[in-house]
Amino acid sequence: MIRAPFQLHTPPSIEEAVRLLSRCVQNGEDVKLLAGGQSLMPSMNLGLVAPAHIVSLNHIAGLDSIRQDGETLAIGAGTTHRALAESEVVRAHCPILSETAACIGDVQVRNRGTLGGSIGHFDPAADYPPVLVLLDTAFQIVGPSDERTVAANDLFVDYMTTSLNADEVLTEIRVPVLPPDTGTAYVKFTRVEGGFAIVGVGTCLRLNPDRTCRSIRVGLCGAASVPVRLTSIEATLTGKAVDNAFIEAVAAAAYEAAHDPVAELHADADYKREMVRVFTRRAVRAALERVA
Amino acid sequence: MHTTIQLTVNNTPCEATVDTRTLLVDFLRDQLDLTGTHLGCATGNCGACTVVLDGLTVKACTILAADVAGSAVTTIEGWTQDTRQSGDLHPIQDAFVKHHALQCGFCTPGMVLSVQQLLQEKPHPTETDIRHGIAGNLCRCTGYASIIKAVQEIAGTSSDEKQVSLSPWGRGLG
Repeated sequence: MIRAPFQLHTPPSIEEAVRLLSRCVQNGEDVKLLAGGQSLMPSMNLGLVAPAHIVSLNHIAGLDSIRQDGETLAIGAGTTHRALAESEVVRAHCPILSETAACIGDVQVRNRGTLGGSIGHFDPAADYPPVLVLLDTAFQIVGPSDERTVAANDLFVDYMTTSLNADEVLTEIRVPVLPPDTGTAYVKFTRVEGGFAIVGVGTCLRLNPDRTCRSIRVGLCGAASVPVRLTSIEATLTGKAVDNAFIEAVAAAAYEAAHDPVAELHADADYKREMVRVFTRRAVRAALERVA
Repeated sequence: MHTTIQLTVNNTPCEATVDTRTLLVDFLRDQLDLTGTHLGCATGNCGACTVVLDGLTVKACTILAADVAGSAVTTIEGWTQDTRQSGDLHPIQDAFVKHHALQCGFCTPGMVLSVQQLLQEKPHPTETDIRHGIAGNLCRCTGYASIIKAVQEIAGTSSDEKQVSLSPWGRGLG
């Protein structure tokens, strides 16, 4: 039993959910959205958060849809990690997202936890943010008076802080359909399976017919309090031969970018920075092996 | 704040009034007296509270009872309903006993439900599959090796002519 009392709302639509959120905000009452509850419920059980109102998104139909819309995949915020990991369309057109979803938590967590919940909670060690940042994801957000689309760079503001307002709901994320010749990989360093990433590295790599780099994108978690995308290498390494020197250049750029990692119990800042370098190498190698 | 919910527990429709703060695990244990579902950490780590919610394993300490109105929940008690009536053990139970896959037994109900889901999805899991499949269930007694052996035996048995029904309401060895 959670100690602090709260009111539970189970709205049947996004509009109703937003209306409830606005009312709480206007009344100055603390309100939290509940999706899969894999972070919120433990936090409430421990008494770390005690909102006066909980608005559950688990009774809104269609929030877990996955559809291909031309060159875009539109994924409902209520999609579970499991559904994302198993989705044929996601595996075919944005495999890095399925791979990422499949390494989150454990079976039970993936069965219940959602994409939108993870994004909204934004633990800086979460697996989705670095991948969403490198994919140029667009986030669809519904508020009391309007609907807006936010780019990944503008969503993740700081440690556990997004640019979502308290009266807004994230409803959908849109990622591009990746060209079929893209090699992708998400690799993660954890102390035990199911743990949050000490370091996580996502990579998308495409080659020219002569095996030089056509495009490379790398996103990191664990390098700072927000996900880091290695934009510096995207232009400089295009056209370069993809050899050991190339991989070292990416790893060096990742090490440089990870100048301020958040120290934690099992990994101090220097160690994490070194691990960013190691796992970036592994991610690029894995992506290279998967280039069609 | 209280609310009245209707849901199906172990194939039986039930209606109850719950405090909205009630976790699904507390609801099952305290209001329905289904104490086979254990409460370990209350932080979604240990998996002792694992139940099957609408066909998928979940940790019942991370779910509000009032938020799953209308759903179907299967606990360890419901899972063994049929085999208990017949007096037989389910093949998973048999294998756990044979291989000493439990000592104190605190993790066992959750462990068994996770093994059940794993075998439904992958009837012939590799050792790696098994380790991934039970990653959400902590056992502080066995060191896992005996649990893995038990699951391997079931998976092996089901591959020969003796077909093992692995559905929750299966009849065991045919």
